[in-house]
Amino acid sequence: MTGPRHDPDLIRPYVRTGGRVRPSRDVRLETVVIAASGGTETLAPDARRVMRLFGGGGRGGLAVADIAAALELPPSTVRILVSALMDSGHLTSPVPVEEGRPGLDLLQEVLRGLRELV
Amino acid sequence: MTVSILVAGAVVALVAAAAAWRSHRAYRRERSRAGRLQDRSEQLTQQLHAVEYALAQLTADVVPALAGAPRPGGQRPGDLVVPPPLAHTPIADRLRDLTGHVAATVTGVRESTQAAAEQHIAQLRSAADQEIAKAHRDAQQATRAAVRSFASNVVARASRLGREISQGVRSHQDDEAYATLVHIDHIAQQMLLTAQGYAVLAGDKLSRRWPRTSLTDVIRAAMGRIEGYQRVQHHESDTIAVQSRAVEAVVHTLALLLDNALRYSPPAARVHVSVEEGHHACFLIVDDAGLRMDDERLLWARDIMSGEQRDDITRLGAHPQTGLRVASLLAENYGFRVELTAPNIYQGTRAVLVLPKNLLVFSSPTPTPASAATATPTPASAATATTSPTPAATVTPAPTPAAPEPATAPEPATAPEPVTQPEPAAPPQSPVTTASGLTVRQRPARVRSTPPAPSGEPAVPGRPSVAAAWAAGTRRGRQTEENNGPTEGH
Repeated sequence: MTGPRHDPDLIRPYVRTGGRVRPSRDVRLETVVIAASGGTETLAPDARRVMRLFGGGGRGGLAVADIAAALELPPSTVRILVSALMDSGHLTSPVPVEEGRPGLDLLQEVLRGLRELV
Repeated sequence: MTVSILVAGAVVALVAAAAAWRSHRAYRRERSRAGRLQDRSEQLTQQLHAVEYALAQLTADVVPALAGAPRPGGQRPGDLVVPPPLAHTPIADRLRDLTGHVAATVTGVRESTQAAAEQHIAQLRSAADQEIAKAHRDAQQATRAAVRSFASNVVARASRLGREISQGVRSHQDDEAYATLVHIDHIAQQMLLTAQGYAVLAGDKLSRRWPRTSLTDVIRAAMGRIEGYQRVQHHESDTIAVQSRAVEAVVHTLALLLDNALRYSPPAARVHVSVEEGHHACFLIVDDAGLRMDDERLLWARDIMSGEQRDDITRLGAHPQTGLRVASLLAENYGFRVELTAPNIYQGTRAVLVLPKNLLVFSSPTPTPASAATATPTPASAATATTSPTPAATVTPAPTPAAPEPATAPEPATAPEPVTQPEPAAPPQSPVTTASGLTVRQRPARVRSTPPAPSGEPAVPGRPSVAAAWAAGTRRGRQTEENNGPTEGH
């Protein structure tokens, strides 16, 4: 392999995050966020693109990994963007961040759901 | 007898008297002739002396003066002064003629000698000039070849480094790794800017190609290549995009202008980038609040921009200032313009990048979905606001799996440009939901043949708790896959 033929990032990640290289809070790939109040006009382009994924708010949550996939951005970049949006109150986490991982019964429910799919 | 004696005596006396009278007359006549002769001889003698004097003057003064270098002031000190005894005589005329002939001959000889000498000098000089030009050309070609080879090598490696970093920040989720990679990336991008500038100066073409890109993203791409990009404040213009073939050139030029603006403004001052749409062109305006370029420097810059002394890579000087030269070359090659004015409203310098409309693509500000499947803006399609100038071209009823995959977007140089940009999600990447409400997450790089689920139901994010569990599951699955599957690198 000679590496990718095409660089996907014409805009480099540090520009997207405004120079931040670490998330300001504990945001993981599996962290689910939902849209909160707040106008998006003053946001930077990428933050606005994140907010647009929520379709105007009140329509459910998205995992950080999903946002990254939808926007085709590096996951760590999205974690920084999301953490900044949570700092500014545009996004909130429906589950306490410190818990971080879902309970056992939820996992079992997911497992059952996945088995149904297969 | 006496009488006869007396008569005879009288006759003799008469005869004698007559003879005496006649001789007296003859004497007087002769004497006057002798006087005239004497006068004439005196006059001749004087003229002879005068001629001698004039000849002496000729040989001593006039001819040497004529032969010598012409003296300044135009006066000819060697002019022959004709002595008064010679006035109005043919000799005077002859002497003047002689002087004239000598002067003409001397002048002729001098002129022909001078002409011959000048011709010789000119020949020598042109030969020397040719030699110098040839040596200069050789040096220029050698320098150019060396710089070109070196710079294109660095460009190739640095852009590969950039690609590897882009992959690295996607595959490593560790905070420290990400921070380090991003720092390295910033340095690599600046290295790339410098090296690519020298490659352009050495006559190389820009090697990197990008899809059509909105002006907002062009500005942000340029910011990524310079130090201190945090000080750049910019307008946004998502409805105007730069054609694929010009993206790299415009980004590079704008990066140079931004770098210049940041470099010459105070460390805390901001640099403003604004977008103006004109009738024939769009203007990217870079304003700094720094040192205003003085008139001399502006003239120099305009000389560079107009192509004077621009292409000579051997005349960059000890502290090469390549920025404007590169900008000028790129502008000429790609058909845009760069203009510099000072002072601007901040008493600094203003640089304007004039992009003619044939380099641009205009799109409507809001996407207008054409098909029922996207009638409700799904989260992902909302993110493609900048990408669909003609909805009919974007949304096809049955998208083929391979076509809209941006990871393998074709080089847009020859083919018709891809209508989508790589970064906003293309239709196959839209989050769709399963019947049980789970958000289906598709990873674009590995999607091979998964057309979007033909669901009439608008795609909405799943319930948070379920989505969280699902995301964790996919993450674990992905890690396993990455450990088993082919990894990045070469």
